[in-house]
Amino acid sequence: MNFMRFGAVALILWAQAAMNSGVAQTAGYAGSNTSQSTPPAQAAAPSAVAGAAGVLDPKSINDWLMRMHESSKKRAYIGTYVVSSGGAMSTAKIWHLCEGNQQIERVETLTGAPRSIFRHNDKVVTFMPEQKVVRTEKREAVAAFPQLIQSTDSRIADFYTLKADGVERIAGLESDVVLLLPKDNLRYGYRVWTEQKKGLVVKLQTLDANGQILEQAAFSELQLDAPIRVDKLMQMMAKVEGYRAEQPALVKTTAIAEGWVLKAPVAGFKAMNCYKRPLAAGSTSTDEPMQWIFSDGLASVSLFVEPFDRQRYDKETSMVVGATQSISKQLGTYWLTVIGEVPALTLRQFANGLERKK
Amino acid sequence: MNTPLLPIPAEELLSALMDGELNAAQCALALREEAGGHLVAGQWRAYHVIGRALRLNSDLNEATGAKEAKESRVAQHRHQADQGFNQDFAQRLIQRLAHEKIAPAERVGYALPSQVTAVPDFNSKPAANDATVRWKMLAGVACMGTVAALAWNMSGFNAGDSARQLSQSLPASAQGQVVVASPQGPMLRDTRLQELLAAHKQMGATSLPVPSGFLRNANFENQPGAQR
Repeated sequence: MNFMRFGAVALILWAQAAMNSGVAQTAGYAGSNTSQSTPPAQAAAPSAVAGAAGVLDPKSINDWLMRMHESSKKRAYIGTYVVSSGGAMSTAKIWHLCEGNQQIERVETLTGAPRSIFRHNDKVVTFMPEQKVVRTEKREAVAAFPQLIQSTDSRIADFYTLKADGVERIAGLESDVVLLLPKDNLRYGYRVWTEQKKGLVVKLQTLDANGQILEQAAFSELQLDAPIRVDKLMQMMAKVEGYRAEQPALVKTTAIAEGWVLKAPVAGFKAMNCYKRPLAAGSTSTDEPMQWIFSDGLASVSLFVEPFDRQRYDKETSMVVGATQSISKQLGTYWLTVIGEVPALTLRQFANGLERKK
Repeated sequence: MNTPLLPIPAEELLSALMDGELNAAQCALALREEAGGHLVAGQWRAYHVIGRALRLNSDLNEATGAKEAKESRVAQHRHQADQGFNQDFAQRLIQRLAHEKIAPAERVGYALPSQVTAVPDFNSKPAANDATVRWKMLAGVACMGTVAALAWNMSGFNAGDSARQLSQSLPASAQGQVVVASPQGPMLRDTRLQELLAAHKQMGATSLPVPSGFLRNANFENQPGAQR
């Protein structure tokens, strides 16, 4: 009778899975039409993007990004955020508040290892309760945003087309859908949902050249203008008793000073920052790894250069997790790792273009 | 019978009892609970009848000893299982059922908790359907169907609906990648690479103002095998 019961259970499971598959397929076809035809209910012109459906004025990309960024900074909200990348799904609860020039954010991870992450402007404090460690870091990229999109060397509109893609309801909010389509094969596309009233990003997908979703993040629930108190979050952020403090000492530098150049620039990508990172625990090297960061305004690429260690590295490798790719290779007496939310072709251009000058 | 003492349906309880999977206390509870149920009593008899019929069928197979005949029968079973029903087997089963006598001891053993000690006798024999491939094949086919359907659900073919998409952003293939499968999804083996990924996510420059940078960071840190 064992097999009889086992078989019955398996048959039931199969039937349920088959039904889900059918439903999912139907929904998939309906959803995939979003970019091709706008349903009647979605025919209204998106309020966040000037004009209407179709390709938009390149100038509006920067305006749209600025509006989106300002809204994300200035709104007070509490939400549950879901990130799906590389087949893994992470969920976190977010509290965000802005008072004057002060931005404060709290993120509590709900999946995986417990983490409490607080951000006060560009300062990020991460509490790891299991290890009783608190790590304090500076995140310059947040502060660098306006310069990033206003940069004349890296104009987002030169490499992406902005296209309105209808209206959808996300986390209970009517949201404009916008496509950022790459003009070449060196970057991915994005589909962005912004709530209509203020332009807060409520959902974001990273798409490959075929329009397949590589990664996505969205609010599953969102309470706008939530009653959050700055002082309470600041108190929580400062409560480090019982925790061992870590403060990775990033040293700002330049690639030239470290003896590296990119002999052929990669179209659209501009060097943003360069740091020397602290040596990993147990490392016998005296040469600190370098991180050279590039961006085209939307996608980011990091070049990590560290001394070649035969015991640690052996052959060239590549890796893909969601929209993030990496390749690693030996470069003389150094080991290069290039990581970015870009196609492998772009990473290879970076890897092949890096040259030692010292 | 509709409100069993154990949180197991009566039929499953009976089946477990047949297979000797219940301990003495569970047997006692089960038998006390089900003693008056005519439907369950009928089921109990039916299990024994089926068990005997299957054992006889198995014994017959062994008695012939002819390997070719066995192989032929297995092949035939496979073919018939594919069609979903074995008419020949059903006919033979019906014939045997017509001649089957029900042993009174089995009925008593079911009715009285004090005679639960009879259960190990059933367990001492192999399960009635062990010797036939029919149920194994059915279970196997059902499992394969289940796995195939679940795999289809989890694959990237079903792009579209936003809620569903959240859980299925599958990685593209890449030669020489070091991502390995895990119950939590693709996982990175190289802890140094994970550190670099975290550093990239922390310092990467993007104009898309979503807090996913933090979450991505946490996500990579949370991958199994990750080390700080």
